Amino acid sequence: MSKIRTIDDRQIGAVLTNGGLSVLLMAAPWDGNGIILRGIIESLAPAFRTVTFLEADYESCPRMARLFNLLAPPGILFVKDGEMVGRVSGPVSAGRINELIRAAIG
Amino acid sequence: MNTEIFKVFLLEDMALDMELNKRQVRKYRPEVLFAVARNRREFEEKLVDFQPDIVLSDYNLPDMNGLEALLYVREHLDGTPFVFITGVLNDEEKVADTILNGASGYLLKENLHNLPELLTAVVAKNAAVMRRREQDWERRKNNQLLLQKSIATLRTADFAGSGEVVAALRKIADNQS
Repeated sequence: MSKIRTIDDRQIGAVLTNGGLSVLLMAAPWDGNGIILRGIIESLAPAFRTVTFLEADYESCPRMARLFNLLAPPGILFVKDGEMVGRVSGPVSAGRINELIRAAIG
Repeated sequence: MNTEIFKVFLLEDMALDMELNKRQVRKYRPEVLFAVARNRREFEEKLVDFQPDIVLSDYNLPDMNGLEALLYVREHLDGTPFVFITGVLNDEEKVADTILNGASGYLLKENLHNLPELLTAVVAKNAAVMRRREQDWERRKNNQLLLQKSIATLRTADFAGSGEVVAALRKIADNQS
């Protein structure tokens, strides 16, 4: 079973009020970098049991794209207690994502 | 604003004051996304990427003052509303400076309970500016999306010079992002 839950624009509020760390991948099916990032996050997720991993389709979630100021996919957003604690866009390595998650957990 | 979620950038070095500010902002709008900075480095690193609807700033910070923060916002984010929340902005000259340099308002920390009211007024006053920013963002996003989709399509095509075309489009996309 996938460790990444799919959400859409209607569920942004729940992401913002979630007490712990949420890691949200915004990607598009036509973008190869996003597909690679999804695989990386899927493989990292089991190591972070307290983190909520989410994904959203970039084009069908315009509110989310605007909220996180993501002009094009892919992007990974780190939200904790209603605060954006990190944000990366474009291709990024597994090691860097791992580091960002650990830093965001604190 | 098209999105009803309010984006607030907080520049404040005191943890307790930061939490109090957040609490008052949530009274104004429960659905809010914050970005925070405690010093100049964090402020300059995060501000432009975040594209806030409003900046709330303390005046006295460890390595910068509020006026410097305001001028940075004016330089990089155009008309984004900027409000000082401070315990010491009681000097008439400082107040005049902040207003002349384009602050949208200021609030003493002892009157923090008035923040929701102030936010209502500032957002209403800046509605036109915020609408223009939304439209500009939408235009930039659509251009960026067209470019990225074209690049993705071209990557699967096989014709002489396709690599050069992809490289050129990639450069344009990077320059516009």
